[in-house]
Amino acid sequence: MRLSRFGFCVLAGLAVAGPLVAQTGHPVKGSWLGYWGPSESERHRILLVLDWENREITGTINPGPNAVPVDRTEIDYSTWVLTIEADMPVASGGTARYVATGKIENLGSWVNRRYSGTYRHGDETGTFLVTLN
Amino acid sequence: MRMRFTVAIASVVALGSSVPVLAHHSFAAEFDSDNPIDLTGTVTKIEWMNPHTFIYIDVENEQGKYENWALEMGSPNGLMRRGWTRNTLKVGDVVSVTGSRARDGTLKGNARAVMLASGERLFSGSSQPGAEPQESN
Repeated sequence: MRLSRFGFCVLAGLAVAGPLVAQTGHPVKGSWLGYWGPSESERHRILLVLDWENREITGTINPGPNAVPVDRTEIDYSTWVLTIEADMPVASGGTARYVATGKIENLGSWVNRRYSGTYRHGDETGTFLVTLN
Repeated sequence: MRMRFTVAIASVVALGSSVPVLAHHSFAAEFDSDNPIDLTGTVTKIEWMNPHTFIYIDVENEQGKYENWALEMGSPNGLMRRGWTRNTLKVGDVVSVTGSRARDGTLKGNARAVMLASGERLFSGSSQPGAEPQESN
């Protein structure tokens, strides 16, 4: 059986493209690193790890000893606006609801994909910007 | 015509498979053993890939700003022979890393050893000559 030229090209293309396809996943999946805070002079470092499991976005804020699980997410695929919610500790003790809503931009980029918007943490409001690490 | 077609296909396949090979390099070409680094920070990302595994750590500098360092280690296979597993490090762990900084001055380094939060110290399969233990291939 002779392999046609077209068939050979398709197989060669698939062989080269296979590893590339294996690298892709849901656009929000990964480690996001950046800052959030109520003003430009008061910014806090944030590490947000997001995953895509069972067709849902899950995540953790600042994984490690002070990790906060993201307990609710919502995404609008027509605009790529993502909302994440969690119960975050407050300085005075206890926790307050943290709700961040922002847009994911540069979806096709591995080096400059960003998620930015506004948040409310209890009575505090501010902005955040994280980029895919 | 048939020969040209075969050469073209072979070139495409060779280019495709050569990308990982380009990532392999000599230690001295990229890192400066006279510029040691000793960093402590939080792991933000781990990339298990050949020919080098990378960990990224967030380090607070003297100005209170955070710098995200990319630290090159040995191959996944080489690390596993030194006692590493895929669960040795997790994002969010605090680690201390010793090694050498990249010659281009970027926030990149070659890790010689990694001290885990548990106090355990693991060699990272550095390509630096004299780093112990040497990886045997």
